Amino acid sequence: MDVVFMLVIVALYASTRWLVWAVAQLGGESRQGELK
Amino acid sequence: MTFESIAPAVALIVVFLAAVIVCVKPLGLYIANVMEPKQDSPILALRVGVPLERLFYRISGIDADKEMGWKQYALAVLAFNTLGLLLLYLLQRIQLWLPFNPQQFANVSADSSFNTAVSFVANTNWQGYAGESTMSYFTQMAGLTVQNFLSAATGIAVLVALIRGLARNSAQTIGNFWVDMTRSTLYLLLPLAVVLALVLASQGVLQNLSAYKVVTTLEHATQTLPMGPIASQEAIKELGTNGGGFLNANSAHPFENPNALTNFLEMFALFVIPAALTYTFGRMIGDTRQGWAVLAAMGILFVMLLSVATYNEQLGNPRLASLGVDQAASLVQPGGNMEGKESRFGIGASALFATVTTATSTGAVNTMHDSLTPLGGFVTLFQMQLGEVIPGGVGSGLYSMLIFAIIGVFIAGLMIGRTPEYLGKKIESFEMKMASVAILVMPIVVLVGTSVAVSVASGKAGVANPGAHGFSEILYAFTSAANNNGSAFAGLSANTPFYNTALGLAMWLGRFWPIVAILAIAGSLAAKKRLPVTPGTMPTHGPTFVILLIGTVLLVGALTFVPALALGPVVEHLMMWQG
Repeated sequence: MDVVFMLVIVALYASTRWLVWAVAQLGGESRQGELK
Repeated sequence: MTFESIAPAVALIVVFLAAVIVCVKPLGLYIANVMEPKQDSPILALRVGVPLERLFYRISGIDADKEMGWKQYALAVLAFNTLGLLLLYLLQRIQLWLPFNPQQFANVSADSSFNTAVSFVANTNWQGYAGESTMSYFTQMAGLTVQNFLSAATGIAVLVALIRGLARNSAQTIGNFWVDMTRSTLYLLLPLAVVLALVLASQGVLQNLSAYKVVTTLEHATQTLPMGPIASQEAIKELGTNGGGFLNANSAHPFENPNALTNFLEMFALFVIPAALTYTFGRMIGDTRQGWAVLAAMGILFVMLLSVATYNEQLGNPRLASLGVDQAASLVQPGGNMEGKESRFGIGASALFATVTTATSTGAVNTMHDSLTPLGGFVTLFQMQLGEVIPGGVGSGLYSMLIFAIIGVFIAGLMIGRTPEYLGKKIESFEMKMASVAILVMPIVVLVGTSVAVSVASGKAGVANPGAHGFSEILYAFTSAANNNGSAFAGLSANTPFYNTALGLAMWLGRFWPIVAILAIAGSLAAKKRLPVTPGTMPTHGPTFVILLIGTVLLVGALTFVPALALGPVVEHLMMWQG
């Protein structure tokens, strides 16, 4: 069970890290759109 | 109900609010000065603490002068809190082999360890376990109490980063997470916690490392009394709007909350930092009227909901009245709905504590929320569902409220055909997308989580009170987790693998996903130019803005949750009064 919850913790970290990346991408796209 | 019966509760509320308001400006000013200290500051805490602060940076290799962009700041928040989560999980899993465990408590189960670790790292302090029969003193002190400080400091750090975003002009950075964490812990949380812990201990809150004591009662039976370093955890439990009690009964237990004075101090400690941070906000952006406006909106909502809770608790249960039970307040009884309440607190202090704890995302309890009247329970639920913004948790309340302010000015801008701006910063599509993420994560987690739990066997198995109240219990659990409150209706058996895992996920998503969106807004706003005030600028410090902000908060909360509330506390209230 420890392995399962370690994987869950890694998944929570990875998903939140993905969110940071996705938001950063969105910020970059928005800025380009505004420049147009 | 007569005025005499409600007068003590009203008097307590007036004294409580007066005490908080008096402290808002001095504490808010202090926080602003320690989070962004000036050279040669006369503040004693800085004179004493700065050498210690610099030593800490040197030991840990932090360059305090190097600031971070929003992405770096967010990754630092994430890395630090994930590490804390891992460490707290491991601590619980090996506590049997660690010192300061006089009761020889076994290692905590994997699912409960996961739930508790996420809970304390996310400033929720949802406790699916009973502290005095589960956690060793070492786990309580080195794990839970430490996370109480660090999670509160994380909230303050994120708030200060957002404020910098609003205050700065064409800047690429929003501060240094490590510096913000250090300053909020060293200059604010630690000193206040030490003072409060000493005061609580002086009033009878326990503080020792003794083994539990077996005593003989007056009836010649034996009773085991829990011991432990309770005062030190109690202080930061309240000050950091954490809520996780040392003992299962939390602040209803006389060892955590012995008398009316400790009860008042605990409520005050819950409320004062979140309220003071509104002044800190105004100070840091150079216009304290903005902070007062936000505090006014918070205060109006709080008083409205507190009135509903207090009135209904004092009114009592009509079903008991129909059986001839005397629920009138008198010299020999507080009257009203005393089920689940401590007689040393009565109705007023219990209703106030319940409202304060769910308004500040704390979740500590001095009364069993499951025993509140339906409308009393509605108030506790609804305050959480509004997003914990009145005034909310340390840092998290105000940063969430500022998101509502951004949404509010956007709506106002749409209505009058002007580009929305807040504090001189244009609110554009990116900010609105991030604001949407920040406010939508919580309701999605609550509604999806509740739907799943009422649909699957393992979710339904935990319900002790079937029907409308049982639904309320499940809704309350997910609302509490996603809003990082941590209180419970307590009729739900939540220490199961299903609820431990589901609520753990809800707590993490409800805390850290909005934080990412908020830091993105901070970064985006920091990079913008601050526009000058013109005759066409909508003022955000007057009564119109206060009403707009209140309306925005209520509209979003009500539209999202009225259907669910209708199925729970509203139905229960109607059934109770129908007879």
